[in-house]
Amino acid sequence: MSDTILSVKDLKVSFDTYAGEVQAVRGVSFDLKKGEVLAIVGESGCGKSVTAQTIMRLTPTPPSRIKSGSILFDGDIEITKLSDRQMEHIRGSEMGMIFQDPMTSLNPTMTVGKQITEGLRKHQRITGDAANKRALELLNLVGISNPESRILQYPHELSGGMRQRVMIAISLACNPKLLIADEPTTALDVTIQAQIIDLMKKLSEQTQASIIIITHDLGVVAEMAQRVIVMYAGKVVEQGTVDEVFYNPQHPYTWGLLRSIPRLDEMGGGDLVPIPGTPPDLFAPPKGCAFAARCPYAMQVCLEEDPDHTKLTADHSAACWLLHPDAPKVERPVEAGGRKHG
Amino acid sequence: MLKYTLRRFVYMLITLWLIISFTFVLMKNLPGDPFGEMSNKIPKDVKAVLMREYGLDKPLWQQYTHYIGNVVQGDLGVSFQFPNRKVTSVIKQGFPASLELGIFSTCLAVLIGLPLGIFASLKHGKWQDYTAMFIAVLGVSIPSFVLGPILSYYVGVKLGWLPAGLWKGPQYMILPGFALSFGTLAILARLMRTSMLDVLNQDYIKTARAKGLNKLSIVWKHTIRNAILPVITILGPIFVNTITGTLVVEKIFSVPGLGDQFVSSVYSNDYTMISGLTIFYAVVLMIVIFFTDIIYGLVDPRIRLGKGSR
Amino acid sequence: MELNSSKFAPVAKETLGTERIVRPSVNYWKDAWRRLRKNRLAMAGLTILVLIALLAIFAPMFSHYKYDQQMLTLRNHGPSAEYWFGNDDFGRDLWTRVWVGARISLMIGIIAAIIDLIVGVIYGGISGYFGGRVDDIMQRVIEIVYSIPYLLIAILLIMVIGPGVSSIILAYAITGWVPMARLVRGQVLSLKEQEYVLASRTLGSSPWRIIFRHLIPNALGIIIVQITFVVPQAIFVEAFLSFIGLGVRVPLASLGYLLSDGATYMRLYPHRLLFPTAVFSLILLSFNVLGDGLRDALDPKMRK
Ligand SMILES: Nc1ncnc2c1ncn2[C@@H]1O[C@H](COP(=O)(O)OP(=O)(O)OP(=O)(O)O)[C@@H](O)[C@H]1O
Ligand SMILES: [Mg+2]
Repeated sequence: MSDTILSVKDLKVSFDTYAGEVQAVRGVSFDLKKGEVLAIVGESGCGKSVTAQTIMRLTPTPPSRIKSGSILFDGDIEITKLSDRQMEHIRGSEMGMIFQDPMTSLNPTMTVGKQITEGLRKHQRITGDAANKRALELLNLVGISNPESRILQYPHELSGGMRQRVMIAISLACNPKLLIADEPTTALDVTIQAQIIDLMKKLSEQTQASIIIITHDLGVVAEMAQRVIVMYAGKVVEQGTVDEVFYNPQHPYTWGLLRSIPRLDEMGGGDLVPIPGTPPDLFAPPKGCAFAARCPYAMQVCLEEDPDHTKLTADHSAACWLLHPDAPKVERPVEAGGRKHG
Repeated sequence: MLKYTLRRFVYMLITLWLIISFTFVLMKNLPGDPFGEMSNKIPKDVKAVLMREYGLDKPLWQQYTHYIGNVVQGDLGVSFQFPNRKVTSVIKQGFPASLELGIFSTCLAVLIGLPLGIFASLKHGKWQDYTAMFIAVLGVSIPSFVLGPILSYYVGVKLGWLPAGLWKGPQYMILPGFALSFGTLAILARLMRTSMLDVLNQDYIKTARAKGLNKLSIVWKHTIRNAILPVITILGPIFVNTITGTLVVEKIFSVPGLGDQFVSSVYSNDYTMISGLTIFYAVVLMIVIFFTDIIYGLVDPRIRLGKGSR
Repeated sequence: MELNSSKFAPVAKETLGTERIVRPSVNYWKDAWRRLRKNRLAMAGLTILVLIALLAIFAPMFSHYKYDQQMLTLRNHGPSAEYWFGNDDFGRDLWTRVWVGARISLMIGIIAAIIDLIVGVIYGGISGYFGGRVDDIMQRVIEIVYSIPYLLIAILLIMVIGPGVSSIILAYAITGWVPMARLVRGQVLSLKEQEYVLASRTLGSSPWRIIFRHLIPNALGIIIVQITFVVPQAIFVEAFLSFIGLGVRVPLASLGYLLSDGATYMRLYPHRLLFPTAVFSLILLSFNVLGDGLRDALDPKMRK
């Protein structure tokens, strides 16, 4: 167990809103090993960001609330039980986060340098000079030229790609053990996206940080991640190594997802087929499998009971009644795996 | 920044020119003729001399340029009712008290209003927020000319805690100052709260939290600094409010200021005095607005550095 | 759990109702009204406003005294069973006068709102819709008009055309519409890029049609909220001008006039200040809390 940096067990998070309780995360479990890159994929609104932000306790409380579950970090730190003060010491120093939109994630009235050194000075209690030196180092590391002049500039003087590099520098400032990147490339141009992914890949190899990357881009998953979890309506429906999930997907939702998202690494890999219908209402999630209403293979049981995870290999599992021994065997659509397995 | 400053300056000049022209047009269109009720009693030739003296026999455009020329040189004319009183000397006499009152009340409003708004935003949705915002909504709803008499009567006369009127020392400033600042304070508090809530929802606040900064430094370094920017933009209008407020407050508390003078001129139909004072007020306000705009430019790096300026 | 093989029978697509819209799409206005009704302060404001409006309309009608009816034996009498708000220095019934005053104030507020709706909405709509040079020029005009301290201009204007309700309204009309124009412009700017508007534009609809059929209805929420702030603002302006002697002419009495009068005699006859103040402040307060409530209720950002 000692090689596990993060262990999330049956995490449930809800938002108390005007209209009622939104069950954004409804029982998510996964482990993250040291030095590993884990990708989270799923449709918009399935709870990826909420999961990620809950790990850093960034979701505002209220309205959000951790209903149950545990988040074990670095062996024995139970994140869900920490006080706000204790959490402040972990955030930024042990865990870093990169957000989706670099245009809005940086403070417009503070220089880049200050925004980088701020965390350093808080967590490592170093002098201004030392912090500045480290900031220059970091800017070099994330590939920003002329760091000496950049450090004095304000965010609006930088391009989107550069701002995202600055965000990465901020998140890496204190050498965190865990880095969470929530769609770090979604808001960028395609060419810049590739640069940022290259940078992140390089950094994941250079630093010892474990990374959770949330993305809609299966190409990014294939390039960076070792393992992937597929989320749907606040739950994990399938998880496994990237190969297992890409080439031997077991959940009809994963099939649909693989067919509906373009992949940079596989040009012309079949037509894109969107998944019909919309995700369920998280105000009142259905009793059975949340995907049943959109699933072409739905059975009576799917409407009545939520399936448990069926373990397929050491890493690979999926939550689907089709994996039950009594279920009829269905043919997986060929394109779903991108290539035929084997 | 230079371009920004220049543009502001040109706006200021245009506005002033409009106001001066407006007063000129009004002067020319006053009901009755410039000699008022005595018009018929003045002999024709005397009238002609007077007309020449005041330049009223010249073509309109010459009168106009002459008028503007005078104003630019700081000559705002003489009182219509008391021809030996110059508008500028009235200003010299009354403005200091008004200025003191205005500055005192603006400080009061900023020092109470901003913290109140910040406090409310940090307690968003809790009873403290509701209480603060109820006070603020009272402030917006109870104008100084309502609050003034009440304060003067109850605190000044009935309770006798503070002077109910006149202008003889610092303690005389408190009641009129407060009456004048209540509305401004409320506007500032409401705006600051909205602005704070806005900023607190921004992504960069999440970034700051993700760095592990504590609440205090997030509020202080990241939130307030950004939230205060839109508040600076309304300092100009706020000052306008305060100045117009002095008109009534000085009347209520018998403060011998310019506002009081202005209202008396209104009651006595002293047209030239009124337009002279209006131009003076306009100049003061323009200068204040100009400087708040410049301050805003200095505080916001997006404008200071000339990019993304609006 | 008991699972028998029948449970693994595929279910027919129809029973799943894939096509059913999952989150009920609540009507925007209904939703806003529901939120507003939950806001107790705003509802109190609305109730008080309705009451005040009813009193302003009917109280003078059913009163036994006319607002300018002098009863010199009753000079400055305090409130009594017959004269609920007491009498003024000519013995006139203050109850009637206050409600006539409220009537005038409300009327001025409503006319100001109409001016705002006409001038502000059209100006802002055109400026936002056409954009480019037109917008640029129109924005410059707004910036200049806005920097004129308009109470001063109002005072000058009234000095010339003489005091009265119509002068006050004219004075308001000079600059009062600017905030509305700004708001509508902003809203139109952001709306006009939306798909249905673009579609309508490519289909060749005339600008007027697009502005009035698509853009303004969508900006209606913001416009309504602004109106609830414009009305008390105009009422305030009237009171201010009356207070410095530029309001309605005697014997007519607006609230501002009564306030000014009351302030003068406050030390001797507090009732003359108390009642106009109470009604006046209640009107402004109610409008403001209602406006705040409406803003929260109509805020599109909160729309799910
Ligand atoms: N502050 C909030 N209040 C109420 N509901 C919220 C809040 N934040 C998130 N949610 C709800 O939680 C659910 C999950 O949101 P989340 O942001 O995690 O989705 P996501 O998977 O990250 O989607 P995307 O790919 O669009 O980023 C959504 O249905 C959303 O409506
Ligand atoms: Mg997200």
